[in-house]
Amino acid sequence: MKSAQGLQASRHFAPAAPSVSGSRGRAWAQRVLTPQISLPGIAVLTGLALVATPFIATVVRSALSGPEGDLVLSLRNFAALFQDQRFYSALGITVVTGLAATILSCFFGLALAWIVARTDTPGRSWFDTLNLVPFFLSPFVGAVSWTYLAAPNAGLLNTVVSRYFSGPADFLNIFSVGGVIWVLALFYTPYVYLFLIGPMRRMDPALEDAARVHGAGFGHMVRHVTAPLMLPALLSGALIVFVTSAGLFDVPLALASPRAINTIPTTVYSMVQYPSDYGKAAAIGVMVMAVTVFFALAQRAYLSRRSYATVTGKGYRPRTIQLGRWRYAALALELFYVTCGVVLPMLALIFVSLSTLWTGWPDFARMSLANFDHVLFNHDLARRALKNSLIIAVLGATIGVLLGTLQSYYLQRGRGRLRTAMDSVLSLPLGIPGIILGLGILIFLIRTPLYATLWIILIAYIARFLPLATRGISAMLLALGGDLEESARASGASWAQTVRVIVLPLIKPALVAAWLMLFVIFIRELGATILLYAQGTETISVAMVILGEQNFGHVAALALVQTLMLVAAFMLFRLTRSSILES
Amino acid sequence: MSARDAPGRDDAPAFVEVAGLRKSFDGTMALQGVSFEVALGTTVSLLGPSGCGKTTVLRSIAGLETPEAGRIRIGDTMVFDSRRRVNLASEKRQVGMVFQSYAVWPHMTVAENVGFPLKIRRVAAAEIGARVADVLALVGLEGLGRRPATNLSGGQQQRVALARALVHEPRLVLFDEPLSNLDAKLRDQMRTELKLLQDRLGFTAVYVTHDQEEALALSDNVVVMNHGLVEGMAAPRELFARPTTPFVANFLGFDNMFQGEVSDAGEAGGAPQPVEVTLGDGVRLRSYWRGGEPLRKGAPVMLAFRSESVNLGSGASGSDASVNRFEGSVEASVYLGTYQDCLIRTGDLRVRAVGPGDSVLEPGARIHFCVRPEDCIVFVRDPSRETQEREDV
Repeated sequence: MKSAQGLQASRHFAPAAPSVSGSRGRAWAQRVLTPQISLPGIAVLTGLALVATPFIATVVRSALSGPEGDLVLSLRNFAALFQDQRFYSALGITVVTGLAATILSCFFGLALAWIVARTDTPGRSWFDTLNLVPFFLSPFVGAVSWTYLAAPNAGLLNTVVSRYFSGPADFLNIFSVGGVIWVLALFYTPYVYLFLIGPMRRMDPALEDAARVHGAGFGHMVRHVTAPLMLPALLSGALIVFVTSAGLFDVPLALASPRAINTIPTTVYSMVQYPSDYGKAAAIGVMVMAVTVFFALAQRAYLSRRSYATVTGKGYRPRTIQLGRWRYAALALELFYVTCGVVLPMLALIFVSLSTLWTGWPDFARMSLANFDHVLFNHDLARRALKNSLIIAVLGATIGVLLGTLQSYYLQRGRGRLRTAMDSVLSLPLGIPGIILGLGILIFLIRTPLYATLWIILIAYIARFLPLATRGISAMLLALGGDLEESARASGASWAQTVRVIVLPLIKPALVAAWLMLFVIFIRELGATILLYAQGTETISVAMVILGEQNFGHVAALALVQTLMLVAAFMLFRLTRSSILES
Repeated sequence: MSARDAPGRDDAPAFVEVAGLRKSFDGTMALQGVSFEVALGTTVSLLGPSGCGKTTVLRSIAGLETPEAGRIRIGDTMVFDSRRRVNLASEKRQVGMVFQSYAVWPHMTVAENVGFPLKIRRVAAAEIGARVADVLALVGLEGLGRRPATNLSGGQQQRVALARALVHEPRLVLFDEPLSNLDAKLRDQMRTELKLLQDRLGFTAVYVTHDQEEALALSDNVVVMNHGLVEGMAAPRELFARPTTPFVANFLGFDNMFQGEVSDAGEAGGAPQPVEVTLGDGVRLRSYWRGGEPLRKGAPVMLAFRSESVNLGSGASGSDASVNRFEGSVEASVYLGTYQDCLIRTGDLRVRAVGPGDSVLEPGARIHFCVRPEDCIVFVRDPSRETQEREDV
């Protein structure tokens, strides 16, 4: 199967073979045909194709309007969009939810990273792991679980409020802009946390000591030294959270769409539904892509200006701050986050999945495994979805790691002058919302036999998430340095032997981590799938969307099965203790 | 050993007083009662191998570490006293400090780094500018104020750290192995510059280092530390010539150290007492005992001398050419340009020696050598001595 994909990939994306003419051409061909040049080269070209085609397809489609089969070149799609009041309201809600979620997750992420890295709060090492759990869980499942917790009049928390505190039963309303912000913040806090925990741990404690010794009190020190040093990492984290959370499709679909509130991703989704308007959807896609490119360039400029972004360190151990009685406040914040981000959603999911009829309160007497029995053994859609997701995740992660390794090899060891530019271009999909990328792939491949197969989903996933694998592996290759390979070559090993005996064993942790990372993402991804699935190619997340309209219990059972897969991957991930997260 | 034995001490109270500092980390004792004094305008070095507690002492003076017991006084301020529960915050101790890693803030310019202590003290901007310019000129960085601190070489960052520690004219300047991250050539240069700066500004300083040359070059008094204890304290020349314990001797380059016992003891009337020590294989060496109680025949001792004190060749110079004269064979030699290190075997002793670079010292060659009695130091081997020392501190 892998080779079939390889063939397909090369048929679609490999450049036309250069016409070999004369001895110069032959020499060029000989040089390029060595595996050392050609394999990474093919991977990079594949990556470029995966970036370029959805871009081009979206741009071209946005400039075509009129009835299907009679398309003409015009800017009417953009004109129609700019006159559409719903577009502006979706844009407003997207920006508001994105910004608010970013601010909240920066608050949580900063506080939690500081608590774990720098204070004597009890249980820090446990929280270091627990804080990351939401990173691996599905935001869609999180949103669904929070509807069980905080749906007006039916949510578990609302029931608690009305039963025991005689408050209103619609005390919390998760079906709102606030609900979207809340769930996004919970799930994106680990991103900020991950960006900050490294610099916080690696910071040379003498930088802070020097401030104290030379007259600064604690407040002064934080304001003039600690905070400015952490700022680049915080801003990088904030940017990623904003771009990703604003572009996320699943959470608004679960929490805002039921109240007819739309964000840009859900608007694109509804435009592609019957009666579909691909032109207008593509117009939105072009604008989102433009914004992404702008952000990517802005970030590059910012980081190149502030070169101290990475506070270098040689394994310093910053001094822990004795919080005294404030330790308990820190502990309370940690517990609050872990409870809201992990414990409560999981509890709700378990209760609902075990209940034959969910009424907003667990009825322990009538709990059974019937829902699991149904989705695992009897329900065709659910069973198919599980199978499809597993196939895509295993195959996709494998192809992704393969391409990612070859691309990193080019980016870290290649000779081309284009390497840094190539790095930026290949990373672009990281900022593009899944649904926008899915739209581009759909437009590009809708008339090919790939449409309505698992392949189209696989291609979209790899196009969207390959840069993650490349980045992780690249960081490890960079850390490794070229000396080890050169000494193997000097000892007489060929390139292939060097890669097999030296490079691959040494970067294995990064490879395992990248594989697990892609596996996790592919198991849960919804945004990139929702426009591309067809009858027979549903994934677990798609099945949950379809079932959501019918049966709570089945959705919860399916969600729990998916969560178990993610948790298993997470545990393997912690075992491998890799550095991919820190990169 | 205590500060009381330190030479050159007046009756006036010392400017800095450290007394009975104790501190443990995770159950292991880092400081087991450290005391010393620093006179106004002088520099005291804390010298010792890594892990001896010297940095912990310095950080305790700076207020970055809290000892479990003891007291620290700077000028007329008691900054730490475990009994009276005094523990002044670091920023209120009015010291300057140069860190091993420089700790130059990467997000500030050179001038912002150096001006920080003044800005914190709310000095007027114009005055900050003038004083920063002055101190930058002093450390040889004139005109670099606007540079981002990350755009500097290691040596320049070192100067920024130094300027920052001096700009607010602190009562006491603390140095935490400031030269250890520099390469050898730059280190020598900075050492000289630091010395000149000290002479010119006359600040009071505590200087932590593991490098004996640095300690000898830069300080008025050297405190040698080992395992959280003060092993010895003396002025550089005194310390270098007559270390008081085997540890200090070893640390200061007495690389030949042998166990033996006194085989002949001379008149104990006036110090030093001439003694003869017999080492393991019957090799006899003459030396002098400079301790208190005269040594008796049969007393267990250690005898130490530097490889540089070994006189190679048959025609040894000196008044007592026949004394401490031996014959051995060269076991190994390492050519190092102007001189060569060699290992000479005599009986079952191995003696380290340094010979001139141009002499031929082939392995296996027979060779005569001698050591002057006054270049040898005798220590009493007595486990109870260590305990004595602890109580003294």
